[in-house]
Amino acid sequence: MWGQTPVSPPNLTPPVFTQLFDLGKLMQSMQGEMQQPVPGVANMQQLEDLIRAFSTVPMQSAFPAAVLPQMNPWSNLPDWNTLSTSTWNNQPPNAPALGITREYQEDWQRLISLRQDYEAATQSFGELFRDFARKASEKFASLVTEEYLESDFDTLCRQWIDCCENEFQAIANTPEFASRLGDVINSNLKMMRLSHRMQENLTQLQGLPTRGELDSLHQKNMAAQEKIAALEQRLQQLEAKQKTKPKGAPRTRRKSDS
Amino acid sequence: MTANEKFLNDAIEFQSRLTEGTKVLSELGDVEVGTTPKDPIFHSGGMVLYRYRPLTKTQQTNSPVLIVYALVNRPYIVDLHEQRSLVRGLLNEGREVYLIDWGYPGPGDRYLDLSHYVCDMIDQCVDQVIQHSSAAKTNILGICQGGTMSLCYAALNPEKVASLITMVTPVDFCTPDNILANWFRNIDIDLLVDTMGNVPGIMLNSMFLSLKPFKLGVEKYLDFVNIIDDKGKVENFMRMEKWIFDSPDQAGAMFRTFLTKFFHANKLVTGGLEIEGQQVNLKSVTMPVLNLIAKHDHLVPPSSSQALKYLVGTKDYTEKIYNTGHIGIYVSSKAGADIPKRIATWLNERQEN
Repeated sequence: MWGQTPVSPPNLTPPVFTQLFDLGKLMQSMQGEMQQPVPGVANMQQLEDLIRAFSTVPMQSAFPAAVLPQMNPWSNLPDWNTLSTSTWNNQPPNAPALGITREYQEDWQRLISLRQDYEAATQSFGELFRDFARKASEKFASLVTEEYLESDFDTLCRQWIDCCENEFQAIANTPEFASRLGDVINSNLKMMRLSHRMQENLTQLQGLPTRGELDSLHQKNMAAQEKIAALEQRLQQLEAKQKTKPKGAPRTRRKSDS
Repeated sequence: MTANEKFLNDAIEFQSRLTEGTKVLSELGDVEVGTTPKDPIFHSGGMVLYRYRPLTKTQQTNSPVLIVYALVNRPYIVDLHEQRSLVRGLLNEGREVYLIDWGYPGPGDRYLDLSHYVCDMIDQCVDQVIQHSSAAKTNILGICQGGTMSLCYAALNPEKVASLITMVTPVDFCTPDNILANWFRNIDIDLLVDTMGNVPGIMLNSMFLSLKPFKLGVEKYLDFVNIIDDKGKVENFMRMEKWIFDSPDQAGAMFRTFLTKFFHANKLVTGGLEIEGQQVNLKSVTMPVLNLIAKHDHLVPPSSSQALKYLVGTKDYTEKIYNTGHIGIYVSSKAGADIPKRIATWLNERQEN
């Protein structure tokens, strides 16, 4: 999903970090995984792990997992898990559909095609994120100099956050970012819309009320409510008019009076 | 102490604070919000109009303030805690305060449109406030999206609005610094609403957080660890946390209209906005206007709110910019202390005239 775009860790210049402190081993020390805590030798792999963790957390914060089921059109489809291995998936999306199930085949072909569009959009959006993560890490690495020997853990974390936020803000308001984000959301929605329609067919087969039927009832209900409100307003106006009419005023003649 | 040792100490301290914090959190329980006493005086569907009970012996009953909050979060942010309450501040200034609580739109509300909110619900509430307070007109305090709706209402019904206060209110949706608007303009809103019906609150919240993912998604929790052993501060943090993620779904039709007419077409600025067949012209906003703006607002950039000055018909326009953000304007101690006083003074000056 678009919220889970993997972010590759950047290639950092090792000397910058090895001259200073070893975050990875310190973390290991803190967790009691080292026999001799506070080592003097840097471990770049662990530092990269830490930076990877730092890069992943905000992605998850920005696009929390709870959103994903809401945005996942496949959750409606009982056989999505088999889609990747089904024969429909092996068929080119633009191949003609044949036979009595051709409409059904076309739906699946269209769904696969929309899925491909969505994956392409996600990948394109992810590239922007990868680029931003690389720039943020480079900026952070350039800031971690000798003077940071005097820094504390909190200051360093905040420095990293500022680097990331500033680099993110530099791309977030660009037309390219907005356009690629829009592509991800719109392509996702197109999949969702088609999967809803397919689900609607299944619901009908089960003899259950469909969303289309409920929507049409909602609309009729709203129209009826508006009509009632208009009638009530008219009634109130007539009642108010009746109350303000002076006593003894001649009664309006009706046709039947004559 | 070597740098490595110092850094290790910091990390260990961080870890022990987290451990201590889990004890505080486990004893915390649910936090209370919106505790200022109030009474419901009107219902319509899921919407409730509340009147706050007075906190002072004397209260100005002929000049009520009706708070119209946004639809995207819950209105108890204006009464988050005794010490952080815009409502309490206004009550302590002797104002009579009413609040519209929009509730949580359900699937059956997906066809509620801008016209329902402005011409039906706000109008009904205004009538109720006028009737209840025996005032000839009401003052309206519109907040964020509620400010935009209040502007529409005031333009359509100037005879019912004594004065209008807008707070962090978007007016010009096409200023270049409006990231959210730039993002929204690339989303097919018809496709979104047709597909989803009501728009999930969590989805919108996700967009809002994405505007500043590192400050709002990482640094905030780093700050949290620093206060985690202080129960009072943790309670305040949890109140905000509860409010931020208490996001009602948005009625589909309203969301469609709001995004297409405001975010996409910017109709408050370009003109041509129509609600129930009536033209909304901000030149009809002839009552006094007080516009409260947050300088560091990432959701509603100051430039968006400041456009109001050139669009309204009134000559009595006042603007105040606070050195805070979109949320800070409700809960920061400085803005929180100043805003109720400023509103009350501003209203008093206009009442005397």
